[in-house]
Amino acid sequence: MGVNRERPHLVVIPEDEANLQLVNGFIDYFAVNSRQLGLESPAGGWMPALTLFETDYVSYLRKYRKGCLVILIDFDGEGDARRTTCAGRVPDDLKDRVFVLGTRDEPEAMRRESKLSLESIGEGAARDCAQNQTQFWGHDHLTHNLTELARLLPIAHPILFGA
Amino acid sequence: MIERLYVHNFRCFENFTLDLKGKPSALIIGKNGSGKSTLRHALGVVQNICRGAKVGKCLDTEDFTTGRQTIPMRFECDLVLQGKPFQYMIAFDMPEKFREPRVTEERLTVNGEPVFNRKLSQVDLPGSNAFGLDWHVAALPVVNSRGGEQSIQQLRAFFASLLLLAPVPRNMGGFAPEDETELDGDAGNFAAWLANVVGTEPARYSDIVTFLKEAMPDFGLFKFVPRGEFGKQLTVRFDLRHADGSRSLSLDFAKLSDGEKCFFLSAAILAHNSPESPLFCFWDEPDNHLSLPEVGQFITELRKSTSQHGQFIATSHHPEAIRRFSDENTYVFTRNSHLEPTVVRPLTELPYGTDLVRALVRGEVI
Repeated sequence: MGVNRERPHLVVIPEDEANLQLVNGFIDYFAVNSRQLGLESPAGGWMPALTLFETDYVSYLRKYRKGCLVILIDFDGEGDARRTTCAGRVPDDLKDRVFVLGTRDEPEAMRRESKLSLESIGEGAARDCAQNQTQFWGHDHLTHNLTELARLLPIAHPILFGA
Repeated sequence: MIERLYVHNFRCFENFTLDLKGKPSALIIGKNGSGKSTLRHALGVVQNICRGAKVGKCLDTEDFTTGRQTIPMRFECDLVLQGKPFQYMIAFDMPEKFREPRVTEERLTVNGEPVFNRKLSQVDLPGSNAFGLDWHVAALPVVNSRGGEQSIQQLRAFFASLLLLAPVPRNMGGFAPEDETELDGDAGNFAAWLANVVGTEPARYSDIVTFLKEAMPDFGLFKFVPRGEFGKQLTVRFDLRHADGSRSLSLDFAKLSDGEKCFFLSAAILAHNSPESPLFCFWDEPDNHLSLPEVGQFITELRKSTSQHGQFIATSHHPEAIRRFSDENTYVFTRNSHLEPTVVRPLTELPYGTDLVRALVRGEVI
């Protein structure tokens, strides 16, 4: 019942509990096919998430070539600088299968501002992806992800929502 | 969907309220002995009463909190079925010299309108009608709706169909003496229930097979083989494909592993949930018997199934299961001692640092 690693699949490393709860909401959206979506335990911060990627998932992705990975982090207001740091830790041969997404500051800030639960935010993000729209992803706290999302969705959409 | 459950004077539940409004799925965590399984027993009391069982078959002296038999034991359930709000309440006591508990109060309202109101043996119906009833049986199973209105039947069907599970795979032998409409808590009659599920709605067979093929890639089919004079045995076929051809292996259901039996149970439950008859499933530790990579997916499937219709409540100590729920749908049961009642708090009210599972391992939160 676990993810079939020989088939296209997506693994998510959430940096912390709040990001994990965003993913729970994303998965819970009815149209998401969760059978090929693997979920790591919270890494304990964005740096530990990158470390987990390096220690465990570089070799994993080289072994399972139909796998791709999303590292879900807080950008803590550091925007492009943090994205550049993260991108610098991804080996060239994996760049097209590794993606970094996350809230502008942290999920709790978006929750407070939007007055939505973390699961509801995740569900809204999933709805956008399913319907090929950016209503939710266009929110101030998420809009910086649009370029990365455009890179991710051609790979992830068939896994998560079917062809 | 159950929106609120209130229980008083039942085992470790005193003035106990579980608010499930807007929660299609929820997780209950707590230490051993905190009352998680008592919730299943409480729902079981309401279910058995509703199925028409005599009170004495559902409750005994020890079910009253610390033996307080003269204080009313009370169950209240607010729920919404097909858009209509229902409120059902039943209370019991057990006066001295009584051999078994009796019903002291019972009330049902639908859409805020009273359907019946009972005090001891007298049941009052709207329009100044009344009738007497043995106080060792509930009114809900015997009162009928009037004028073709289906509310009471709806409520009875809902309570009767609650799945209140703490499966014991070794009891799931796969032999079905006859089809059964109600699944036992230990799922010991699983084959008989499954036979009824696929017999009454054959389209569910393909849903179950689809799920099982995902869970067990070499799964082929399942079928019932006549055995004995009237019974039938659930058998499972696996199709093994090799470069030099393929072959099949048929096994009695009893020969499957505990985890595989749980896959079957889950597949049947998921297929059983539909917009027309949404299911309510309480599963005590659904992660039992599953290997580590399977737990999260198993919980996710059950959660997703009820995100549109139905309701899934789980208890768990398993980190992978706990992580598949969020603060907003996790409840914490605590209890200071065996002489004190269960206290329930939403996890949102309990700070735990940055990682819930680590906090639980440290003994915090619960």
